[in-house]
Amino acid sequence: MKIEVEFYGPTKDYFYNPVETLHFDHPVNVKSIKEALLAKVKDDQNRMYAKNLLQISALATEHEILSGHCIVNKTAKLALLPPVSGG
Amino acid sequence: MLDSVQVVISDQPICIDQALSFIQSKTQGAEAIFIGRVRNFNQGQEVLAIDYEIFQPLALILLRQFSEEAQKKYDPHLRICIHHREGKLVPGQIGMLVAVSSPHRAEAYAANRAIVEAIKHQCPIWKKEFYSSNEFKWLEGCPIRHEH
Repeated sequence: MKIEVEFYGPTKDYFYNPVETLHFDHPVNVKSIKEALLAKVKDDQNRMYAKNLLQISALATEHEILSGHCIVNKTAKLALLPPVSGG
Repeated sequence: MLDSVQVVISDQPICIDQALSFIQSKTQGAEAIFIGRVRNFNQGQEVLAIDYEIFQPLALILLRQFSEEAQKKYDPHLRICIHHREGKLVPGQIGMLVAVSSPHRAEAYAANRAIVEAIKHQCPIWKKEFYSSNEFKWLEGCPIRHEH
């Protein structure tokens, strides 16, 4: 199962690519996806900041924000949404 | 209700007259308009520009949801127009406009405020500020509620 995660706002600064592709052989929850993303942070110096930002960021599809209990069980394109500052 | 709501995200300048013409109607006695412009200073720094980034597909859905929730809460007859810019803006330019009309002023004021607050706290939009010191920074924001 392939999950693509696109980064928005300040989350982009912590990864090599604007989109990361994750592979899982089982259904995963939001927490597991964030843990897999943390392993792809571009350097150790940034890992603590990235961890904090991941904790307060949401995952979403183009149609809805995923709840913390949501299970992803098929190929998906998601967006990682850090704290927002619109207006 | 949906034909009484207009939501636009664009990299083109926001037109106040267009928004006003959308919300105006002979049934509506009150209009409340919020305009957010880019400031030339923030946190002790001179701001040269702001770059708005938006996760557009979800933002469009949420902006409609905020509008429908306001109609349910305050008045089903509200007419609502929301325009938000994306891309790079300089001080003085309009980043966001929320226009609401209703038969009476109380509902227009309240609904406009509620929608503006929802956008600031829940809509996937981010601002990156560019300063005269050649530095730039993503502005701190509000975590989107997702633990439901």
